[in-house]
Amino acid sequence: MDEQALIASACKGDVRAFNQLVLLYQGMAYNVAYRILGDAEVAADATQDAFLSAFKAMPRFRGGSFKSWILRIVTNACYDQLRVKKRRPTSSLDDLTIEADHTSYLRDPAEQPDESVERQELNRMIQAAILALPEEQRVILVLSDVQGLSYQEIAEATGTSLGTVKSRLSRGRARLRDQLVEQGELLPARYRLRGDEKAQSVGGPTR
Amino acid sequence: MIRFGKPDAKTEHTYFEERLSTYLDGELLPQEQATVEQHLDTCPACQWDLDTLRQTVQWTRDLPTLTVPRVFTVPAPAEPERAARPRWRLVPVMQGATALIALLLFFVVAGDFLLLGNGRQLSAPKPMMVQATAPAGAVEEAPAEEVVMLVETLEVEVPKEVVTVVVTEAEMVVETVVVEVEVAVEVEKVVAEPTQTPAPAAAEPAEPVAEATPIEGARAGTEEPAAEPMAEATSIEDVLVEMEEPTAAEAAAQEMGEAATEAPLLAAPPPGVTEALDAAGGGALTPTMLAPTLRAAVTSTDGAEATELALVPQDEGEPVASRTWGGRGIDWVRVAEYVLGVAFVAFSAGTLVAMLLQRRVL
Repeated sequence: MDEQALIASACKGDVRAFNQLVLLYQGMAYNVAYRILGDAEVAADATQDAFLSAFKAMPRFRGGSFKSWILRIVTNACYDQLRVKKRRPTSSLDDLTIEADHTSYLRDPAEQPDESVERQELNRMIQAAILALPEEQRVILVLSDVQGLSYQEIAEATGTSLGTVKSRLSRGRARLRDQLVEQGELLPARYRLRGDEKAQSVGGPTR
Repeated sequence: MIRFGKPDAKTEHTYFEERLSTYLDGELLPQEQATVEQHLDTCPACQWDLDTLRQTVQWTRDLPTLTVPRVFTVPAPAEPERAARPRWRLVPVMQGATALIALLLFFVVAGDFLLLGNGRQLSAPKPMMVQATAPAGAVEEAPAEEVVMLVETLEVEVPKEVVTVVVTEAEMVVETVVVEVEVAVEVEKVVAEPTQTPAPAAAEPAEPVAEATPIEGARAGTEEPAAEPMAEATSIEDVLVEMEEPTAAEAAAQEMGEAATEAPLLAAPPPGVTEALDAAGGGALTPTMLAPTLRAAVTSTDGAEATELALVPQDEGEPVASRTWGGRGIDWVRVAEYVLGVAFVAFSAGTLVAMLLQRRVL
């Protein structure tokens, strides 16, 4: 059964067809949630909430990109989790402090053992920099650069215009780059972005 | 190791910097892309931005894909709950319908007994028709009392001319019951030869009169009626005298006829009135209620040869509060009672079944 047939059946309340779609999209949904939220358990909760919400909303699905539709629900679930996190700022700050000071003790469970330690350090640095982005920029940067969505798909998933997607992505990338430049000395030499010359010439990061 | 050349400060640096991200993705319009590429050739700072951005995006895309910690399929809704849903909805609907039908049935039955019930009782008696006819000779010879006897014997003979006195509303006093009677006198002259064939109405025997009870009441009533009907009867005389202005030769016979007229008016509360009074339980009856039963047609003779006395209903066979429409004789109130009763029983049973299904007894 192809995806369109599964979608049609799921719209009529066929839970088996919908769960087939879940198996197709759960990897993408979980990865997006993890990169936006930075926590495996919270990301799993957001993913589960998103699919439950999607199943209830299936009868209202009016065609278009099912991937964008699912990702919109996933990002909304992530926003909900972020709001819950903001209500407990103390624990959130503690987590950030631990993550910043003891990055070497945090291991991404998805990382392969044979990856170089240097690469793992870089990945942790990038994830921390993503989490430091404003939420709107973070979501779009994850959808674009982590998940590889097109501008049109991102606009559909976030309910914004193409212009907004472009500008937020541009600012998010620049900000991420600037953080990597600032923390370059923490990285292995081959992963350093040499921004000191630029800072001297053009006045440093623009944002 | 990525090396970036030393950039130069350029005008419009910010403008191009905002477009480098889109340029990286190849999403710029062709004209914008050419402009950016032209600027990049002359602006080391923008070139540095582009190179560092490209590297950052690449590193981000190279982030490892995480495996899901668990399966995120949604649980299937329990099937029995779906099957039970219609039953849960059916019970309140059936209960509401049953209650509504019960309410309607109550109002119809209550209205039948309280409102229309009186009308039915009033209309129940058959049309009161007292038509007394006497042979001209007998009337001439007989005194008023004998005319009454003639009425009792129901000897129907040929009237010559008919004078009809219609009592549309009557006022009577019977025991404690006060009945307002308003007498209207309508006099008709029917020109006929003394030897003419009998009038059709007079020829028909009046069945209600044949019953003994009203006549007995009439007999008893001759002795005890109140004074008012007498007075009314007197007014009838006056009217007759005024309207007819009979000749001297006719006067005697007309007096005989009027005497005959007085008798039933005085003595006999018509059968319908008697029963109506009983039905009213001693209360006052309105003239309207009595109207149909108190229409008296009193016949007299212009030629002083025959007398006919009659009490006929205003509308033959038509009840006061008619519950039949179109003359088809269908009692719609009764029909409604039957229909609602059957519906009530059916819906009560349906509600019971629905409740049993809900509790899975069946």
